[in-house]
Amino acid sequence: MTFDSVSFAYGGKVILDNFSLQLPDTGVTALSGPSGCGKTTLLRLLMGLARPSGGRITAPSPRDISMLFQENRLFPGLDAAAQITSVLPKGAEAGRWLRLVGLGEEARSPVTSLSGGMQRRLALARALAYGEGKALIILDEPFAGVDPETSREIMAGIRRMGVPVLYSAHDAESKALADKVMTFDGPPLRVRDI
Amino acid sequence: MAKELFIPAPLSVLSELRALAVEADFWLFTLMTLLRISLGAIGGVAAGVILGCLTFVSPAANAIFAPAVRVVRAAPVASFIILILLWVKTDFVPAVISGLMVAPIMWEGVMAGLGAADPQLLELARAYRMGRWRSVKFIYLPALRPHLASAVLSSLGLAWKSGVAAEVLCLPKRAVGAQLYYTKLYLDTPGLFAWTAVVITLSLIIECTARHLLKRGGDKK
Repeated sequence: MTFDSVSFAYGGKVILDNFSLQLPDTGVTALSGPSGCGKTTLLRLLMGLARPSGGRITAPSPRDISMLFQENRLFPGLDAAAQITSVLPKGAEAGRWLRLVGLGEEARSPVTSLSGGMQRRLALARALAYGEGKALIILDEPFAGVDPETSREIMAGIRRMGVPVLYSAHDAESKALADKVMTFDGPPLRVRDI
Repeated sequence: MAKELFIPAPLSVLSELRALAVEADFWLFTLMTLLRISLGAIGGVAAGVILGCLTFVSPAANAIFAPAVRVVRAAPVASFIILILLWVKTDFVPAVISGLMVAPIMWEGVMAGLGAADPQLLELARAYRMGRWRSVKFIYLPALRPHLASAVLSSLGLAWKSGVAAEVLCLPKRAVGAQLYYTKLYLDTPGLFAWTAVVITLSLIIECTARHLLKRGGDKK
């Protein structure tokens, strides 16, 4: 996965300026950096949700990527299990994914009854369920509001899936869960440390 | 008696209502008006929803129908009643008029509801390749529901007013509106108030029933 002289601006603000980078296409990689430096834009470009104004991005087809957005984006009125099955083929089970994120007992709970951290884990479970067998899973701040112990357990489950993962992280505990950490600065986004 | 011509005493109206209630024709006229207007309102709801969905997804359909719907909203009801009277049988005019008044409100509600669908959820649906049907079920319908409910409730009152007005102007055989017209002819003010009370009562009953059904439908979701 590569960014080759990629430029991108949003609302008159330059986020990526002639930016080049090679990302690992195996294992678990954390992207770290201050808020607003352009990590989310990098992930959205990789997913094909934003188009660069210049340069070239080489990545798996968006069809073959799953993404956890920075916001939970849960469907109103659905219970926890339905949040997951709504993005899976008909007849698929949600139990395994709920258990992976520690929400096995909450299958029938409506979203509104879940805490912020639980909602984050539910959104993460949905992204992982959709990402099974895909070429890449992109997670934007997957462990925001999730305690370190639960984060470790979830990461162990993610590793068992065997799908390459790219995730953004702020705190040291989240970064420590990755095989590799890339640190950025910006905007415009630049690599500080690999 | 002269005073009764302008404002009847409540007791006169009540005794008029009591006298009406024992007549079989009263119930027949009321039922026929109820049927006509309900039929028109249901047709208007269906037409407004279909048109709204069509104009939301198709800019070409929007360019054709949106100005027409706005004209219908702005034009006086009486003009339509007279025009429709030339096109369809007298008995059907109130239903057509009610439908015509309901459809633009429903159209507007559908456009507002579909436009209120959360763009972040729509982006998620695209990213997860959810398909059109699931996007409709999980994103558009929940966004549409409150707008649709409010449009139904606000259009019901208009359906009644316009439907009865159409009956007054085109005088179908068995109709509350025709009875209202006759009270004018015979300067029967207590009768006018009594029939008006019937229209208001029916309108309130229908609105309460619709509110209850919509609430029950919303709770089930």
